[in-house]
Amino acid sequence: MPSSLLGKGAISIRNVTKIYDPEGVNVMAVDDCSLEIAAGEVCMIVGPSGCGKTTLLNAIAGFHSVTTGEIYLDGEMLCGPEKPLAEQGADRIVVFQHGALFPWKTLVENVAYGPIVQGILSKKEAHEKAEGMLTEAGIGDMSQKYPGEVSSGMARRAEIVRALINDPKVLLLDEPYRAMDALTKSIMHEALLEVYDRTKVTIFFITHDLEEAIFLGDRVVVMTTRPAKTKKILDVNIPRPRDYQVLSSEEFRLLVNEAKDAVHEEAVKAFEAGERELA
Amino acid sequence: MASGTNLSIKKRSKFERAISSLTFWRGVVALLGFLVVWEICSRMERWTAEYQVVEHLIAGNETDINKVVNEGDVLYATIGEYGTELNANREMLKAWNEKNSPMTLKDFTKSFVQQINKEFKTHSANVMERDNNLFLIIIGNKPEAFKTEMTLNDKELAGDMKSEAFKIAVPWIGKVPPPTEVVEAWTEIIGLPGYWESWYLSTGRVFVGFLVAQLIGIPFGLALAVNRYFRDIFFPPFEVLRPIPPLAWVPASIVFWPTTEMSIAFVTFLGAFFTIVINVLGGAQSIDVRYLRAAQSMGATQWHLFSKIILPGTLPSIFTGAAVGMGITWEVVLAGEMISGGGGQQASGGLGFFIWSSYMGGTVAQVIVGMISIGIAGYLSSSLIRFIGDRSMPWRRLF
Ligand SMILES: Nc1ncnc2c1ncn2[C@@H]1O[C@H](COP(=O)(O)OP(=O)(O)OP(=O)(O)O)[C@@H](O)[C@H]1O
Ligand SMILES: [Mg+2]
Repeated sequence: MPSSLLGKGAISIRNVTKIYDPEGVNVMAVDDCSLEIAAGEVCMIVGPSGCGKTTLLNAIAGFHSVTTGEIYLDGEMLCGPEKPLAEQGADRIVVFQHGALFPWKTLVENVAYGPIVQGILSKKEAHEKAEGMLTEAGIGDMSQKYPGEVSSGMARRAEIVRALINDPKVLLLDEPYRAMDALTKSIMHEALLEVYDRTKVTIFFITHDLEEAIFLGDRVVVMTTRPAKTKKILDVNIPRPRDYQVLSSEEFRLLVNEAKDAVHEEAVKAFEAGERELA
Repeated sequence: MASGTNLSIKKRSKFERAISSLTFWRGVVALLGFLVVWEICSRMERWTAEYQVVEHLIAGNETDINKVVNEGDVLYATIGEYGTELNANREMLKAWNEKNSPMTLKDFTKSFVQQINKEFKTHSANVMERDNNLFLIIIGNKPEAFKTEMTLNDKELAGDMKSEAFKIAVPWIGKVPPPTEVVEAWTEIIGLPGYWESWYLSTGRVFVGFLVAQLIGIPFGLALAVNRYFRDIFFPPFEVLRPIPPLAWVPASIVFWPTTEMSIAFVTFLGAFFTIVINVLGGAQSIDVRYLRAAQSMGATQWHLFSKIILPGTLPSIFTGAAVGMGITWEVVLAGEMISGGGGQQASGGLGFFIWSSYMGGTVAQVIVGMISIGIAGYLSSSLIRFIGDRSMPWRRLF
């Protein structure tokens, strides 16, 4: 099991509930959700749109509080009853749904940002390290360009490099490859797997793409429709390193079907719930 | 070797690219067309009119405008059917001389002008003093529009006073002098130091007001954006003051500030200040929360968040505010110069005063020269802001 690989980055989500309360209208986004993610695991989260996946991720990242429940990182409480809002920290770095490279910084400046503001490296050292890591990721010649000047695939790769330079315990990815064409996506997958094989960082990855989830993940967590809790957890026992041969294997196909059934069921529920609300 | 050189795209300068584009030439043609139409329309009246020379004008013996006028001096003007006011003035002069010290030619002309304005509400008359000559300007629109200059020192005739029996006049444009006359007027004044001093004074006022507004407005706007307490305290009064147009501040500011120059400066500052603050505030508040979150999760301190995220993220809005603010400063400065008559005693009073005095005592062509000068000054200022903006935001200059 991957849990034995490394001793850091284990996330434990225990009975987390999140109720949004805009103007007194309660919206329960996450309901009593529990999930154990081992250190060094790639945990893929799928579920119907609007079910509360981003909410869960935001709670781990410390962007907003939980209503009840606790979240632990490596046995240390991030948030709990006394402290509903987790502190933001460079041990958990988020790669956002639409990308969040700073448009006013070049790629290398973006990557060097973390170590500089944390005061770990001098500006010069940080830039050297950033250059090195960008080159490793295959976009070294783009390092002096602004995010607006590079393709979305390159920007996303740079963003993952920007996260990794901080040596995080956990990478939190929120649909990072949404709206990318299949070809770019497959290149991105290879790049991410390559990074993962090198660093064995824990990955919490939200996606809508079931094939992506199974191709990348050690486990695929299917969430219920809102309020979210875990509906089903699929173990993906395809050995690593994986390549695109996997996609055509029987095992892969069966897993995709299983996941599809589970998600479809929830999607139908969500749809019906939506109809009820309208009626 | 081959792969390095096969794709040699010829580098062309911005200018080269501009003149080889169709857009550029369409613009040039449109501009020339516009000038030609303007020229034709405004000359139409002169080409078609049949003039009737009417009576002469005022006569005096000397050029000295301070010369004392006595009763009996030949000093009259007959303007078309309005010959009657002359007599009234004779009466006036007589009455004056009986009661007061003798009247100078200048005083006399002034009262003459008042008389015209009082009796003929459709005409506006004015007197202007230049190079020891007096100019009498009458702008009228009834029965036919006419405008002329009459010099008091010319015994014979200052300019043919004509009234038209027949003509084809293009409405509106017909009253505007043609481009050639404007250019001519321009070549006349372009060598005068007064003209350039007007430029200098106005530009100076604009930039001082603008820079002070930036220096105070940007930090103020940023403070409003990042600090809730600051916003709670200062935003409401700011919002109450903001809708008051800059020119409405003029009277109050004349009361508050000791010199005219300072009140112009203050009003100018206000004009730009509100726009700048609102833009900075809006820009800082609309920075995508993802950038803030990303920075925070990478361990940014409050100071880094401000200097590395909020400040660069607000830059585009700062420059938008600057561009709009610059436009407003020009407006306010010029209006201020017109209202105040250009800062009192110190002769020359900027482009606004230049226009005003051209209107009062010069030609319409000169007024247009002043207007175009302002257009050019405004264009240069906003180009400067764009230039600085491009330099300081390289990430926006992608193409
Ligand atoms: N700040 C908020 N205030 C109130 N309600 C919110 C807020 N953020 C999210 N919600 C609601 O919580 C629910 C879950 O939202 P969330 O963004 O977590 O969904 P998601 O699973 O990430 O969806 P998607 O797949 O479309 O990104 C949604 O119904 C949403 O409307
Ligand atoms: Mg989401």
